[in-house]
Amino acid sequence: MDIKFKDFEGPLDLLLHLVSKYEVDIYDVPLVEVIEQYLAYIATLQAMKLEIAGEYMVMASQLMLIKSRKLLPKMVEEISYEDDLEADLLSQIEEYKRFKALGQELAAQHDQRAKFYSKPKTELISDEMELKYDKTVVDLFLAFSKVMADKQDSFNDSHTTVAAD
Amino acid sequence: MTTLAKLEALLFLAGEDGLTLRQLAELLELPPTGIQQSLEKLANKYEEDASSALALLQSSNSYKLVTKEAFAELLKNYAKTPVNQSLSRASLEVLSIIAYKQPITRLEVDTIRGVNSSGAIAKLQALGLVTEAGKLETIGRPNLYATTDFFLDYLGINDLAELIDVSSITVKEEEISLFDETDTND
Repeated sequence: MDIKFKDFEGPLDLLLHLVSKYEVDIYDVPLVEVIEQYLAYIATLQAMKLEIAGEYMVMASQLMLIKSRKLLPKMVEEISYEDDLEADLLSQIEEYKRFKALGQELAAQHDQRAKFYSKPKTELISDEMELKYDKTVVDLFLAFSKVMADKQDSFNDSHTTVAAD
Repeated sequence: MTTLAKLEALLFLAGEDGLTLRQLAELLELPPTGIQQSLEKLANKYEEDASSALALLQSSNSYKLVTKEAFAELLKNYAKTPVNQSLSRASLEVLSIIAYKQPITRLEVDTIRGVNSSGAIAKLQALGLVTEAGKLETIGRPNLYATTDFFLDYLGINDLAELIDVSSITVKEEEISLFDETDTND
């Protein structure tokens, strides 16, 4: 396998990767083939005993439903249900694709802003100042837990955690 | 004491918080238009002075005294303030969804991404980039999320309207008909 599974941000990201291999418009993609590739990915990963997030399994069952409905003959008068499922999925992938691209644009825009550095606001102290008493225990609690959450995140980003059995 | 020097002193104290045009006008008791001209003069002065490391930046509707772009490499290893830190891919996706679809619930973000986003939202909240903005009047009364003023500063813009146009990236929707055609041929 050429790509590590961990690199994907969920099942839609994986589907987008598979769809993009065809290099055609997203609505021209042969969906049945993509479904088969997706299921193959999941099966290989299971064989290698890799941990798979629950969302990938939910997506696998949705894809199997689409594929099995496609095989059954169509009812004449009904609005074809399987088309809806397929179109829904494709527009879902499309919308995800859009926000994935937007995320990159935001990152580029932020990189430009991040080149400018500044200093924290200077704390001014004088005798005439009076305490306002507008902060409560809740504010204190929120302030400290915010600092903790911040630190925890930056710690998690720079360290790899291995869970014990 | 010239106006330029006064402005510089105030902006130096304010640091990363910055000062709005209105605050500066009130502090110096001058009309905002005059302040604006002086600010431009100050920015020009910094720009022309090769031995000055400072520059004037306007983001999130306030003026800030910052270092020049050229010093980014030098300061990168020394300074690690929240506004200069980059985000993970997951956080960026969630942030862009919230930025363009705000106010939005966590479940709607999850649906677009196809994966649970509570971790990323908590992180963005801790960084002060998004905040809870009321509740949706539906079963469960879920929280609505929106971006903060710090988000504008984080991107170096003054208004949400300055965000990159979505239409410049999107693929045309009319292609749906092609899909139906291929389907009937089956």
